[in-house]
Amino acid sequence: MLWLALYFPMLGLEERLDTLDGDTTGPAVLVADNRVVQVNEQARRAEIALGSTLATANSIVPELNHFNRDPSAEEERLGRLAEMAYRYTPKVSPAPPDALLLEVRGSLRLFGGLKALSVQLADECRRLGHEQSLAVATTPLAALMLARSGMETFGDELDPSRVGEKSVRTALRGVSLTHSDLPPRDLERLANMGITRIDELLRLPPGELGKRFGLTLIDYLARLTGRKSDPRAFIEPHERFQSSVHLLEPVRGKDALLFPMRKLAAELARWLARRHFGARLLTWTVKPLTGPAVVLTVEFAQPRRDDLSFLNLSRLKLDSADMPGEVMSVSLRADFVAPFTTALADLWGMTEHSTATHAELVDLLAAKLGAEAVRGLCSVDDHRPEQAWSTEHPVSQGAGRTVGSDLALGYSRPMWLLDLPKPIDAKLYEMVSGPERIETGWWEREFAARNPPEKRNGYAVARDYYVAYSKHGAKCWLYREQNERWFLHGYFS
Amino acid sequence: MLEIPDTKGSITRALPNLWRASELPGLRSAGIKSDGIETGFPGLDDVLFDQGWPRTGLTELLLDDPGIGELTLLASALASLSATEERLIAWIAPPFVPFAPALAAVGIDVSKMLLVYPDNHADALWTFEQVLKTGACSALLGWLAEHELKFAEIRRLQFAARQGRTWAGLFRPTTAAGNASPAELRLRLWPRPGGLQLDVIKRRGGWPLSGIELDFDADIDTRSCLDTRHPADESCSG
Repeated sequence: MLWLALYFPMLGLEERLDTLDGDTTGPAVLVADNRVVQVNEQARRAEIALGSTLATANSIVPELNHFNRDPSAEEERLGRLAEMAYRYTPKVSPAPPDALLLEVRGSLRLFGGLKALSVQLADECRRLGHEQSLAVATTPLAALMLARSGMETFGDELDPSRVGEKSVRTALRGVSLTHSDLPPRDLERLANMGITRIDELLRLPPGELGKRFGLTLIDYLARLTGRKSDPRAFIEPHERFQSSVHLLEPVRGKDALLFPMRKLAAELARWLARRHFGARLLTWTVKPLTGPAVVLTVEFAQPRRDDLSFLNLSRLKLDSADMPGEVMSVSLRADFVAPFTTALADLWGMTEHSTATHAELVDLLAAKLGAEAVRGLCSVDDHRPEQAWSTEHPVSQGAGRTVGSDLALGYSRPMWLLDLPKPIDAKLYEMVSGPERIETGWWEREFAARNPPEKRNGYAVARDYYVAYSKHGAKCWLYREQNERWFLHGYFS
Repeated sequence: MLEIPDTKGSITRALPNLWRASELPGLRSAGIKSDGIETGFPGLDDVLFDQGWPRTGLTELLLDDPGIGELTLLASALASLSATEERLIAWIAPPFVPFAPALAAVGIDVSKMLLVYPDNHADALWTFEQVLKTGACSALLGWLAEHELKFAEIRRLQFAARQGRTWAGLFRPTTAAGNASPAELRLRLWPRPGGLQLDVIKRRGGWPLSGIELDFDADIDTRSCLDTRHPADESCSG
């Protein structure tokens, strides 16, 4: 086993800073119980000490940004970082509150060695806006301790083949006990005994230590040096994407919303790319300060995974939606995640436009006009005119191509059909041919009766159809019901 | 069927090989490639500059009463486009439901139809423009609110239609015939028993024409009005 520990010393502060617009260059601190617990580079340069009160810090730098610690947000962020690390090894275990443990033995060859792997990991963390320090050891606790101490351990002395208690002891030589997981009370007692470094502690006889400090310390040291196994629970990556941005200050207006939306869209695109997946349905939830949340759904005809199209289509949806005045948080969920297949481009450009472009157009129109306003068409094998066609989701494969059996029998059907047959005066029409009796659908008579009268149309029908010319010269399709009433049902056009 | 106004008979007689600008076939034989979509009516193809519906630019179809045969006029071109091209055919705010079995019966692949119902004029114009710009459709048939339609908007659509490779049909009432339009081709449709009568109001490479008569295959008319088949005969098939 070869453990790589990723330690994020400023996780809490960076997570908070992430929710701000743009770049924050000013000094910033993270505060817990009115004490400064994390400082950024500028604040460190201004010599704000860790542990000082907020009042002291403010007196040193009046324009200081301060944030309160949010443990749940940190935990969520750590979880997301763990998902990021999942790309490098399937064995990722979070070590709350601010570190990850990766078992990397199996990944060394793929990523070209420990050095190359750690450089890639560090780059990825930096891109996500996180300072990190990284260390490798043969036990998880030792890796963690080394990472916290900031002592990088790559190099020739770390040969993965040399596994054993000895190598851990060598690696840990000179590391301060403050980087261990020991409780502060034990640290103080050890310091009073003149023991401040881990190698000094390890040199003491375990029996005597156990008597003075209890079994927990012995157990810790055993796991640290690898004398006792230290099994870890590894994460299972989520199969559904859900993420949110909580804004520190409420934003107004749709343009201001685009900033957090862009961030989430980019995050989703990365998530999908890692899994080689595409999303079919996005759900944005915009939560205002008070009142109900606004939900926007964006649907795609085919799975997609580029953040630009996520954003462009969501923007169209946003334009037509009513937004609350002050927005506090934005979250994004992706459902119907499916394996992503890129459209095969024609080598010779014979087909200029593939179905991918159809899907894009359909998505574009549906995002602006609503999914209901964009339809495909298919014919259904049914004698009843109202049932012989149906709208469907456009660009679905294998759309119905059945030609109604009426047509096969030689009956002509109009190209324009009226949605609702229009009552007419038959005297104004000149009959050409007919009648054609359509009497069917009796099996749905009961179902039709349950509907309100205006919706009963077209279920159980008993009609005599005629072809006739109107006084405008249009060739019409009329029918007479059994009660002698005449209706216009279509134009042959 | 088509009459080319013969103004100077004496010149023609004196110089029988003289090419006159109004003779479109002459233009074509001069090497200009025709690129139109065949209308299915040879008489109409002959008078159109592209020997068919133009692939770029707007085609305006002016008619007052829907159902006089406008779809039969377009059916052959729609059938060939839907058969030869992968692209969709968009219907923007059609006045009635295009009846799928009937479209299929004339050879139109209904799975390529895209029906769009925008809520208002602005959305309809936007849809029109997007369809033309993306080039994802081989043809577009659009109905816009005439009382809201401005000259500048038609010009914008014509511009968009010239960019893409989409046959763009815009349906308008005949009252629009008197107004100028930047469209590529403008046809006025009159009802005629068993067919249609067309006036070419504007076309490329030619003068306006009137009185082109098209005959549709009148298969329904051949069926007798006194078709007295007993309902019982049909019950076995239905």
